[in-house]
Amino acid sequence: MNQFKGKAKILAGGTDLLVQMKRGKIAPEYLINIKNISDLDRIEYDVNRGLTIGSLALIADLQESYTIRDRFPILHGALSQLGTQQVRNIATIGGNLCNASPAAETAPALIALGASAKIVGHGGEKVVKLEDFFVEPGKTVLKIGQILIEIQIPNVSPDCKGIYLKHALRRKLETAIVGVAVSLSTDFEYGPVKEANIVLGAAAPIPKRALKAEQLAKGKKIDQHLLNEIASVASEESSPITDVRATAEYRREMVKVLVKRAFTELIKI
Amino acid sequence: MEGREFTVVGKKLPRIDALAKVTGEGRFISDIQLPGMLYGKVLRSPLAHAKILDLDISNAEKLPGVKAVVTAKDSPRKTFCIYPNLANNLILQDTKVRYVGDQVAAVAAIDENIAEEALDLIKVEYQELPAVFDPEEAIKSSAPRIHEEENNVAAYIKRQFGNIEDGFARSDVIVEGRFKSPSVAHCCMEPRGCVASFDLSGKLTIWSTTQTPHSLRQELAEVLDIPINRVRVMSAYVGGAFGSRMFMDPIDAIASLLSRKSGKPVRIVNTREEEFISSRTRYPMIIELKTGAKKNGKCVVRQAKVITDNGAYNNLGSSVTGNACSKLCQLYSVPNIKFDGFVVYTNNVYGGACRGYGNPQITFAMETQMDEIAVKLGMDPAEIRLINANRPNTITVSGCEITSCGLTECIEETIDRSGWKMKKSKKRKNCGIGMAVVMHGGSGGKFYWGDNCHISSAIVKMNNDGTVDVLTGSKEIGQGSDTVLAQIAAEELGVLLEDINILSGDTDATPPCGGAWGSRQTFTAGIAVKSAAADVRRQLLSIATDMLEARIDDLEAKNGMISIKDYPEKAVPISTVASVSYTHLGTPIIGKSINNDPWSSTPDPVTGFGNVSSAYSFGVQVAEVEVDTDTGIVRPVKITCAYDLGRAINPLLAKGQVVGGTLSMGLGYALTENLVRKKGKVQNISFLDYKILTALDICDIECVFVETNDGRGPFGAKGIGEPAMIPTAAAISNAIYDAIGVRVKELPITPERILKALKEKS
Ligand SMILES: Cc1cc2nc3c(=O)[nH]c(=O)nc-3n(C[C@H](O)[C@H](O)[C@H](O)COP(=O)(O)OP(=O)(O)OC[C@H]3O[C@@H](n4cnc5c(N)ncnc54)[C@H](O)[C@@H]3O)c2cc1C
Repeated sequence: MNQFKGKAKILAGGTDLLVQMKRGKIAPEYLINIKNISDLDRIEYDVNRGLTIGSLALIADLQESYTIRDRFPILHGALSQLGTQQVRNIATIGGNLCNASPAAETAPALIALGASAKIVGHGGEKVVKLEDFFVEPGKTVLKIGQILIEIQIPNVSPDCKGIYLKHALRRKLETAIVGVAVSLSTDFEYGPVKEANIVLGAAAPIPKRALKAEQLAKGKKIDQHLLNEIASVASEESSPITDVRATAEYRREMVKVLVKRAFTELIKI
Repeated sequence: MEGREFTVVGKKLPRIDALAKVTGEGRFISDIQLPGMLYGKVLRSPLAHAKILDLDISNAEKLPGVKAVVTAKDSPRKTFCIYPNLANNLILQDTKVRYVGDQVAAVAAIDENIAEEALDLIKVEYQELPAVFDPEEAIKSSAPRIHEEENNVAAYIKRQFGNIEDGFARSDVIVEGRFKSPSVAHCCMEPRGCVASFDLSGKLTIWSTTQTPHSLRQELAEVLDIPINRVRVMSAYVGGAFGSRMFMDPIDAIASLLSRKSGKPVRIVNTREEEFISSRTRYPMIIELKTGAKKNGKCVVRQAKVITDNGAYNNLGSSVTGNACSKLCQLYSVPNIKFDGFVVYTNNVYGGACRGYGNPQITFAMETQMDEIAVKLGMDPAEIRLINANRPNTITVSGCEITSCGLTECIEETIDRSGWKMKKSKKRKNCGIGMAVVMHGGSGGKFYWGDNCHISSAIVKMNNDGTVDVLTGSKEIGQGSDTVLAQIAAEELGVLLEDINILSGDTDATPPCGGAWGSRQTFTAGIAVKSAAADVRRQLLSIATDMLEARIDDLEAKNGMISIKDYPEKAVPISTVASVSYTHLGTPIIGKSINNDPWSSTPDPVTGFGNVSSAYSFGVQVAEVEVDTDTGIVRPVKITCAYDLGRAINPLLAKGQVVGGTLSMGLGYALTENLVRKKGKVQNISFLDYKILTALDICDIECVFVETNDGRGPFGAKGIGEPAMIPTAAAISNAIYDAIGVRVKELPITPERILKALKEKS
């Protein structure tokens, strides 16, 4: 990759890349097909280390994994809402993240799960938290010559529950107008929230944690009043744009609605 | 009229082209591959309004693989429009461009990539001009002029019937409102395309996705300046049209020019992006409507001011606006009408026919106001429609003669089948039910001045083995007209459906026909085919009189046999009679018929008075929705429809029209579809962001037909194609009101508009 000096692009499933090339948005001189690198599509679970996903793992395979369905339902939910079966059959999780769309389906769920990205190439190997992986729309921390090879997800404590909600006009085949992933841990159904992760998709230039809202929830027993406040704060933390799909104003409103709905789904309020 | 038992008509028969379609055998434009064929691409304007200062094609011509480059210089520069006096569009522009997507030049090359590369080599120097996109801005005297005309008003349509002052004075309730409808795309599954091939004698053969082959033939002859018989429009499978392929698209003519210049066949097929950018759209309208009614619910007066975004060139803007006015007069036969229609040029792409032809726009306004009036009077919205429903054998103030009419029965059917009364009385939170009615021409009509437009004719030949060839100038575009016309011929002749061979659309082989528009083919072409078949049947029976020693009146043809009515055992196979006609008598049997739609008349150009169609179709839709008041998302739950289509020649195909028209086009128009433009440039040029609903978003549908057996239609049939989509938006809107108490008067009813309306209410 180094030898092509930025004129090359990595090709995984191609469901983002080829569309962008066809539209004339990008015109790389070289495509580097990484699909033949063996073992990059593995899905491994270890009781101690948690879940390890190779960057070439197909969305469809991940969606069908019982481990993910049973132990990481928040991720399963996000995977199931990505595109259509045909797209999921060729799209990879690495491509979804590296394409760095603010609306990428898997990012909020993975960040909420505390996932990290393992990067290889130029200058060796390193692991970064996924919440620090994105830089701006279409741009990640990956430098020329680096590829994402693995996503690592720590084990989830049994008292933790999570959900990913996607808001769009159609039921399927949609780009999220807003996506919200929330994971909460509580000691018992009505107990106070010990840990809260609230991650917003399509509501800022990059998938974004609503840190202030999380802070507000932590250690508290959530009632309707507090939930409204959490939702409003999360909405204030978002910085969405107006585009052909929705206005910024509407997106901000939807952040509120989805945060509230996510909490209500997860715990008794 | 037709009280007898049918053997082919009225049966749920599979379409005759089903096998060809499901196996992929049917050839669409992109499947046509001729020896030496080139690929054409069109250079389109990136600017909405600009002068062309210079156009240099020399580099493109030099690119290896390029076989021809054409500009306006290669064309006779003849303006075109189906209304010749309004023509101001050219197939290629060379002085000015007036919308993003306007054609400037075109290339034919040995493959598509080279053709695209060549487009990049064409140098166009533009001088950008101020542009205007909002028709309400464009109508102002300060707006930039789009044509060399006094102002941007392409047409002003004024209609007055009865006396509106009097009407309003006598009204007990008056409602007023402003309604807006968007520019939407037809979204045909197959993009527009053609293959054009000039031979050495100068004859053009063209395969096109047209829905009006005989009109296209004439239009091409005109813009290419060649005799009509030097153009042959061929038959090919067409993957949808919905009005967008009514009349010529510049690419039909451009491909022809490229073929003439290169000496090779040339294929041009729009990309999906081009479909969204440069294909015809539904005319957006701003409608200010005021309606008055008496205490008893009777609607007595309507006044409308309509501003239609005509786009950059004249096509059907004034005709579509005029048709919206027709419906204003016709639906519920309102006695006092005033209509002021302004058709205004903008630097947007120009519109065209689109399933409903102005009626979906005006029905959305009219049927919303019917609901508002019902609310004001404390009446059931279904009741007020029953009170106002059109009746059979009546004449509207605008001169439209309604013969068969089953509107009342349709309303009653939907009330029963939808559980209307129960659902209206026991409301569930955020769930609602709404009704809307449609009245539409069911037979095309006399809208156009082009010679072929309202005519249908047919030739039916009986072969010596008893099989039949039907030649019709009509056009199969996926709606199933070949099947329906074959059923009509088989029924009339008394032969089996599989004995019919139908050829439609090929202009060298078939007699003139206006083609597929205005929900007309079953009716108008159906009458032609039926009469030509009747002609053949008479000839057959006459030969059989000797063979069966009976009088012609005593004979009947059925199931392939001619028999004496009361003695079915005295019979002779039709094949035997056919054979006798060839071998013994030497007079093969050929029938012909021309139907010039004698019952309709072109409306008076000044007053608009006249009976524009020979038959009118009616229908009702009841929509049920659920609204998420947090997100503004509207989910359709069920639609119950009843349609008066005279008679369903093929109930399967008729239902297909209703299902597609309602659940896809109708719901999309109501809820999601909208071409979003920024400075005239379409922003949603793919199905990712131009939202047609998917199979997961649509809802249940129940559909029943009210067969009024129209006295003029073939076996009593009238059209169903357009009525299928027209009332959906209004029904959904009324259901939303029932659910959450707000009315959104701008289509599509997006979540943001719902939330805004809710906010304004609280
Ligand atoms: C019809 C359709 C529907 C879609 N619906 C959705 C949806 O609902 N939600 C959603 O989030 N997305 C959706 N997408 C987008 C897309 O399918 C996903 O983002 C997909 O996961 C991308 O994966 P890919 O393997 O195809 O990536 P590619 O297109 O191969 O690559 C995408 C980008 O990432 C880079 N890249 C890929 N792998 C690596 C790597 N290992 N290291 C470094 N760089 C890499 C590529 O160079 C490229 O820039 C849809 C796409 C289509 C066509």
